[in-house]
Amino acid sequence: MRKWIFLWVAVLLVYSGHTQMNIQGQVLTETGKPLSGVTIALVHVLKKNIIAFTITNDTGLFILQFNKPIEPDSLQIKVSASGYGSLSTGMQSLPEKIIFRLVPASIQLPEVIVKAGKPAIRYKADTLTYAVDSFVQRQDRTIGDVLRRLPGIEVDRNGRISFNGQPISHFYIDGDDVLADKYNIATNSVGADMVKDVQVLENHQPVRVLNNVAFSDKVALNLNLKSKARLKLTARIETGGGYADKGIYDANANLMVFKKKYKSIHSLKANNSGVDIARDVLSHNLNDILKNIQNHIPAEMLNLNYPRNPSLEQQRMLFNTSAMVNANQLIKTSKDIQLRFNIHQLSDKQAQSYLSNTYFYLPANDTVAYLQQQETVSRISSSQFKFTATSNKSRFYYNHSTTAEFSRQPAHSVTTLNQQISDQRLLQRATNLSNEFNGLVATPSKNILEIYSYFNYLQKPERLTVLPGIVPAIFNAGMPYKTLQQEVTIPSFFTHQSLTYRRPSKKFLQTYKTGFTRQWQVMKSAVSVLQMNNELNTISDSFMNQIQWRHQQIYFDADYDYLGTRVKVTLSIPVSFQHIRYTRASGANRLYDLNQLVSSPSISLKYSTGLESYLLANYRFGNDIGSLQDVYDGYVVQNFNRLTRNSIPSSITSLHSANLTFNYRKSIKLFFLSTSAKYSSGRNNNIGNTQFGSQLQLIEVIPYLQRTRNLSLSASLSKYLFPLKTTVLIKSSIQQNEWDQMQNGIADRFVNSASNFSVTITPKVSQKINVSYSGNYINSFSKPKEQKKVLQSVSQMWHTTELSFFPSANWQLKIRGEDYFIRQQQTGQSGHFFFADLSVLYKMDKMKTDISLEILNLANVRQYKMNTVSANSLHQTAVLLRPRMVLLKALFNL
Amino acid sequence: MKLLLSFFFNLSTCFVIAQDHAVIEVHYNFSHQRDTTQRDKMYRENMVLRIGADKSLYFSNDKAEADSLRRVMIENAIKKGMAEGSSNISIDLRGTKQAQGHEIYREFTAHPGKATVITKFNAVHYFIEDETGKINWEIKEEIKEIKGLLCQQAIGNFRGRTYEAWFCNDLSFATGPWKLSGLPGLIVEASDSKKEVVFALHKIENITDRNLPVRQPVKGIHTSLKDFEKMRKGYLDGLMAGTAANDDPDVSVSMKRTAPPASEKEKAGLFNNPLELLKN
Repeated sequence: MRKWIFLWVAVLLVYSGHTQMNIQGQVLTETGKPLSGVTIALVHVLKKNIIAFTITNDTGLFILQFNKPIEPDSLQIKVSASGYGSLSTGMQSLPEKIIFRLVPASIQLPEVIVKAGKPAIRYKADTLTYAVDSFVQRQDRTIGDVLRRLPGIEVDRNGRISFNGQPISHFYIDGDDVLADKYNIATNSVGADMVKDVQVLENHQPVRVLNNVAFSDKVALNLNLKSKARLKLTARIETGGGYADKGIYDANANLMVFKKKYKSIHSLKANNSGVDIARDVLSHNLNDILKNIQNHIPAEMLNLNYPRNPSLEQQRMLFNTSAMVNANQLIKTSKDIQLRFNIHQLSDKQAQSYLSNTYFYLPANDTVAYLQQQETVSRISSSQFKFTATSNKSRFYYNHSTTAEFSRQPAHSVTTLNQQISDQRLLQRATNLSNEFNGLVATPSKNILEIYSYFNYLQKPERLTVLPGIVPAIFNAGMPYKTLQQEVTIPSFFTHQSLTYRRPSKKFLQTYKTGFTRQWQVMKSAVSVLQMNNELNTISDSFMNQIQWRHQQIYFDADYDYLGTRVKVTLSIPVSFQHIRYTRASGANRLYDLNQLVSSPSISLKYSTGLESYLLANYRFGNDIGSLQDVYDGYVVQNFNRLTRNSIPSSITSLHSANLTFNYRKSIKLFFLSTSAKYSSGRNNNIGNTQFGSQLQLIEVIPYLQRTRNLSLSASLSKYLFPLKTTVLIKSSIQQNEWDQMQNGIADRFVNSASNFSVTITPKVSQKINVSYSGNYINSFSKPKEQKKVLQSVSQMWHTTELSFFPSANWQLKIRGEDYFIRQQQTGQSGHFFFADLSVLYKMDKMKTDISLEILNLANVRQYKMNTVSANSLHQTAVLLRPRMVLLKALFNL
Repeated sequence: MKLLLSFFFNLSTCFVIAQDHAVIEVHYNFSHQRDTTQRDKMYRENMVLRIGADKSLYFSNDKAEADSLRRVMIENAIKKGMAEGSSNISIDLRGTKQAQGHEIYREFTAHPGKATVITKFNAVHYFIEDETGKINWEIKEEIKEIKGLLCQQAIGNFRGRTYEAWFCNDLSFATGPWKLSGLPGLIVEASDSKKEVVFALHKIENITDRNLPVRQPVKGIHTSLKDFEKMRKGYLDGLMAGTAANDDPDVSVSMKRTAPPASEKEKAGLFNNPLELLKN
């Protein structure tokens, strides 16, 4: 800074008379422009008072007159102008005309001046509060639109909200968890004008008994509503109609009440315009919740061999006919008990049409290619009922919830694979019932007892029918047949009971937990063929499974938390005795018993480097004994192209994982930074060997010592720029995975690597124009571990730009452009896709109605092609896209 | 990374200066003995001086609040009237505070001796240029602390009153409340020698982050005080004669107040002790 300041002090004092003194001079900018209105003051250095002053005129000139001082040594000439750095000089040997050059500088304010009453963001005791009014833009309709733009907050394509890199665990509306993790409906329905503040609750502890006792690193989000939104019922009805290649409709009705004692969100939605309404009931933390319960739900076993989903906005490729009723109610009784009902019924039909080519590059220039063309129609009708009763008091807590889910998903596809046509029909049904109880009580000696109980019953029968009869050589002794049918079901019962004792002291918390889990499963699967004479034969034993499975564990877990002012340490040492016993109806090893002592210790250390920054280090050594789905040995026809079976008695996996996270923020400057490094290294006692046949792939899991290694580095930076009124989000990540792959009996070690860079910015250009831009670059490659040469690499780039224009208070014009570019380096193949959308909105304030006209996919792009690479395989997918669509909508706010 | 960090911080602060956004807001409790025949009645109002690097705007906080409240009340009343099908709309404005309508805008470095009084009359903004000139302040040695700020005393005459002002050199904005300015620092407090006019400091807020502009309304008529008074008098005379009728004859709006608005009395010159005792 010093270098910039060119201050000449070369000097003279002019005496006029005996007592009056005069200092003349000029104040200029560093570029030599005269500065007017600058204060020149004669200051007493010790007393700090001003003896005389003058102000520069239009040409920057000044004459400072004053009485001859008694002690000139203690006086200074101080030049100051707001927006510039101030200068001081002594009185000794001043020139005749003194010239001051001022350099622009930020305005320094005395520390006593407090921040304004309501800044955009406030931070106090683990709560970060964003004033919505400071961030909302004119085109925003729902709070979800605003959330996307808040610095430090990120919303992904599925609607999942993260704060500084960490996904939120709870979503509250005025402090109440109305939606039980399925919060997309709120972000898509609650109006931006209904919310006063968005609060991020760090170190969030939802159970009041555990407040100030147990350390929590969870993050929750709360919408603090405006009082007018609490008073009355809010209804929004949106209906629209239009045309694409057929008639299009889109209708939504939302009814919301947010009173203190009663909150509800009801919605009724139906459309065939490509909007995936099933997302409204997406449970974002389901995996974590199940993992906590230790309930390993069996995965679906059969499928229609779908290709990978392109990274494209869903509405561009979803051919749907969907309808959903969703009701969420929360009632508070007089005794502080919350009763909550979450019910939804979904009916959805989706059609897909795509080409998918998969190439496996095997050793010795052997290439296996699957060229597939498929048309699929899948339907789903599902309903879920959830009832929860909660009492959350400072000394006592209980939570009881009962869930029932039923679904039925028939799907039909017509596929041409390597010029062979087949017709597949898949029917998947599910019944899922569960009951959970959790109770905590604080004893008079401040210790805490917790009891937990969970029961789950799950049945998911699946049936796949393939027509015509494929590969008669395998399935029907070479004789042609009509259809092949695979049936599989794994009814499953699981229970988990536990008792926890917590003993807090000032800085130290001891937690002892003991409990047991028990899982009963029966797997039944069979393949049958329908002969030409309509006779149904079940194929012999090797295509059948009948396994009774029991997995139980008794565990004891000792956790120690140290809560210092700067350091938080959590050490967890769970030890469990696991017993697995299963019996097969046929084949070798009919009875299998496994007893094992398993421990998965973990340690976590959090060090606060400052008030708003911390360093977090985790280490965990996990051990896992697989499930029934890892040990069935009869073949299962997963789809018309794939057979699977296992030839191992049990799957044992161990994994070391270590994370290091650094989180920094400066709330007042709206600056957020999160960086993390993750490393994991694992061992597995088995591997899936893929054997490529001309019409079938056979995947057999065999004993093998498999090692995996993953490394990922990521950084994300978010800053609000005041002059542009925008949040800038910059993200970058590098990920590298190393694993073994076995094909045709030959094991190879591969490295996959992906790097990603993205920028998002949403500036407010003027009162009339808002712009948003996001750019994304991904490069991924794969190569054999031993080789230097990259086998496959693909780069993708996409840019999304949205321009909102407001010619007057009632009109709004929005133009959106999306540009996708994909290039595969080795073949030089590339694809370039550009999508444009347009919408015009007119607000009729008097009628509280908005009318909008939307045109999606203006350029009528009908196909999107994408390449992905993994190990030695390349997947090319081409998806059929929705045609140009014109939609006229009316939104009524009642 | 450090470089990137500093880049972001610098970017934000530099822009703030360049676009001349408001830096601080000074809240004054203004009181005025308008009528010496009623010594027990003081007119009080909460005023705000919003300051940027070289501009300031002085306005009534009460008015801003009252305006928004009144707007809501009028809208509701009109809606209610519409809903009931009644063309007679009655608005109860009792309880809403009366406040000064005008604002004072200054470019205190470019035009130190000039203030622009912004007043809205008949839905049009008028910019009345007021040559306040240079107040011949006499700097005193006395220093005192006001809300943690070191302030120095100055005495000066302005339009018939002798003001005692306290300015803060650490806040190098050469401006102050109302038309008072021209000291080597912000005028934090001021009062006339009879304590009939007092500007007392309530609080100072750093509003850098709020990104508010300091500027006068874009549209308006530039005029002198003389011409403005002439126009206003002419208009008021016309109003009495009934030339300015309601635009919509079908809707009549009546407003209830507890007392005749204070401004009426002011317009009629019924106060004997105005702020400015002399024209210059």
